[in-house]
Amino acid sequence: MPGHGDIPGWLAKPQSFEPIHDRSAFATRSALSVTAVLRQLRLDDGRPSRFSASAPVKLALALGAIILNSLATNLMVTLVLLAFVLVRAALLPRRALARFAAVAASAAMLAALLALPAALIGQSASAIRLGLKALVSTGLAMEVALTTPAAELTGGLRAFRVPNLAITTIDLALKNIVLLGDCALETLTALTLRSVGRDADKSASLGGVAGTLLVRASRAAADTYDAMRCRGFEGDYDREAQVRLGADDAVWIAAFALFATMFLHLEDII
Amino acid sequence: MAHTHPAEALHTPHEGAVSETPLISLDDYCFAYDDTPVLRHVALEVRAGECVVLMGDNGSGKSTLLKAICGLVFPQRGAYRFDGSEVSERSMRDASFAKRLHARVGFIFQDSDAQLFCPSVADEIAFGPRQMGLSEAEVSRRVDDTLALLDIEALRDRAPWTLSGGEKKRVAIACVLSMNPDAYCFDEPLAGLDSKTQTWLTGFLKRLKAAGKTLVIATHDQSLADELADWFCYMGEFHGYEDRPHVHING
Repeated sequence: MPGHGDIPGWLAKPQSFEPIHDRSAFATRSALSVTAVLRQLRLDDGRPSRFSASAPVKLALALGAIILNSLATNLMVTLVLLAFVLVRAALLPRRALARFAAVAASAAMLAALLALPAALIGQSASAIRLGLKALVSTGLAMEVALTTPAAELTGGLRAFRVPNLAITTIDLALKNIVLLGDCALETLTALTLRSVGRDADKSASLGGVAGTLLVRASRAAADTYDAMRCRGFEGDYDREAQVRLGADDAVWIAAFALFATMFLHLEDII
Repeated sequence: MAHTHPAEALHTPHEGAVSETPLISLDDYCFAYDDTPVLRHVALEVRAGECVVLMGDNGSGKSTLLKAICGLVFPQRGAYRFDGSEVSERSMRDASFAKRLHARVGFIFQDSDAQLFCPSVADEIAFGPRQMGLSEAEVSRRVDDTLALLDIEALRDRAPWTLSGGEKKRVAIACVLSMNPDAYCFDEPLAGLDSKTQTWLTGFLKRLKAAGKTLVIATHDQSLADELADWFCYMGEFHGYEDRPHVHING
């Protein structure tokens, strides 16, 4: 064995290496697949689109529309909302549109799949209705998420008297999901770079990555809490309530009022 | 595309000798994250045994260039060749080709935490050699040698996440070193280290260079660059030693 600090002989020679065929191709395939999924899950900061209402109004109207969509027995209500969702989606940038389509279509297909037994016993209209409702509700939620910066979204919650603790938790969760997504990508990349052969103990390697993330998540949470305490945090998390309504908000509120009236009429309530 | 066996294709230089043929060659390389261009028409050639220091402001594309060299990102225009073989999204779909490249180019991350995932330091260092199919005797020898080389024998059975920043950096280097790659990419190697560890690491990189290894180092540290660089690669609007051999890229 060479002494301390000496470059060993094997390090000064060229490394002969022929990759071993690995049928499961563990790290180079599955880690990259996980990485690709993580990239999809990674939250980005939504940007307001043209004709956007302010965050609190957007949240309130989206919630109202989702409730009305769920309560509706007349398919016309869902179809009107579907038309609205599709028009709004058409105004999204290309990448946001791709994410919108992927998530909304997945939710609709899952709902239709769950309702498949109903279709098999002749209730196909119910299965279609359920799929459409899922598409509309998910579409509405996605449009809010894609067109509202995260900070505005949680700030907007203040307008609805959501407790400080809940807003703190959401803010920190959003931050940590993004940070942990980055950490996971880096660790999986490191695993991929060194996974040049057959891994005899696949679960141990994957467990190592998960363990690393757990330790980092725990440290990040402790650091954030300490940093908050250093800046005087004693349990109160005051965020400025963003409730300045503008002309755009008035137009949106009027449009929603019109839709609500139509809902009441179509449901034979008035 | 033709896959050449590393041992046949690359004459690993010894004692600081520099090969005449480029080991790393980027030609008109362009890469953008989403719609943000990061590498613009980069042309760069690094010969085996050279030490190139990348210098540039934050966001000038240094880390992305290192990722490109390791085959982690792919050109949207232009080409990257490692030892004559084109590294592209298509060629990296071939698992054997990707593994060969990853065995020949080591990447030492700026954040050592991201690089360490095994339960002990010894397992961490043994991971790469075991992946390469080396015998257990050879794996054991490499672990012992690497621990001695980096003066971290006392850490052998410790869990990586319990180590200090400087110790983690040594372990991160050890786990790449044990695979004996031809080229090493260091991303900000001195960042976050105390002066004692910085001095040690600078000396270690000099020995690695003297052993004939190809080094590509992204750093903001002028003294490290001054001590190690055969030539500089200034990125973006950065200007450094105009009297030393250098190229400007990504302007």
